[in-house]
Amino acid sequence: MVHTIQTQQDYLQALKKHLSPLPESERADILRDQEEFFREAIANGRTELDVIGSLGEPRQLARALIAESRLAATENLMKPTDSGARNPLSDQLKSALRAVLAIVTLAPFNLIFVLGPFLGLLGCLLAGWVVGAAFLIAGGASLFFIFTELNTAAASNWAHVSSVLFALGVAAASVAFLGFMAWVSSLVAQLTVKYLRWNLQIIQAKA
Amino acid sequence: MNTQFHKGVVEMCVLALVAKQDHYGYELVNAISTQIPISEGTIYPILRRLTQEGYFETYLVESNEGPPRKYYRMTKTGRSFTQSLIKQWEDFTDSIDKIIHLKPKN
Repeated sequence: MVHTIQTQQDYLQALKKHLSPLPESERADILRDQEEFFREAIANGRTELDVIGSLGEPRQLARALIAESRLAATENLMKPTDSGARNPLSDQLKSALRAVLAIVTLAPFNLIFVLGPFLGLLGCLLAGWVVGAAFLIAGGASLFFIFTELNTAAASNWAHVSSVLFALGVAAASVAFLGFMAWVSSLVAQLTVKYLRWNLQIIQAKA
Repeated sequence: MNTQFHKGVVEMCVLALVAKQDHYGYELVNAISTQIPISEGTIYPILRRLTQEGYFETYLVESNEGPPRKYYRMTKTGRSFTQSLIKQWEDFTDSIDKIIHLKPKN
């Protein structure tokens, strides 16, 4: 890979290719910066090869920039917007997943340190949401059947009252549980981002 | 000294330099890499991140030697962030100094 890159042109071409997952405006901005770096270095009497050597492999630089960009995008999504509203939780988690994947690409050992634990957490969250939703549906459905039966039987007895209360209780508890799940999910998203930021700093310090 | 240590302080050096006056990228790379042995490629990503986080603003200035240069200017949030970072750094080095120069008892 490295031996095929002899000139500034080669370097920038390769970098551009590896940056293709990024939005065009961001990619153009990065390439502009790199061109400026080449231009200034050469104006200061350095050779193209020397600059290429100091920049490292374009593919690895691109991966680091993509991971950085994905993580920054997630961090921005987590912040409340100007009106104080929060971005939808599903968007936050989706963006966090993209950041996770970019960081795994950058440093494959993160399959173990990042991707595994993150997917495990997502699985737990999904299970929690499904359980909460199931109880909500069960509570709602029982209420519906109890009331339809009340109408047809036209009889009120204590058994009915207690089953209405029970069904209401199930529905209310599941709503509370779903609220709790929303809180846990956003906590997971926030902790993931904090952990990724720390992880990325360690990777970059090693490079 | 180990590279991890160097990388950790590069961000603070970049912030400290831009806090004093506006700079363009290569000036910063030069100012830092002549003092601290780090690979020059690492500084541009740091500049991008600090800009994305709102600590820097950028603007272009025409240069005699060709296309315009991108200058970095510190924002208000950048300034207070830099101050707190430098304060932490000074507290840290003070404590290390105390340990290094600790006189043995008796």
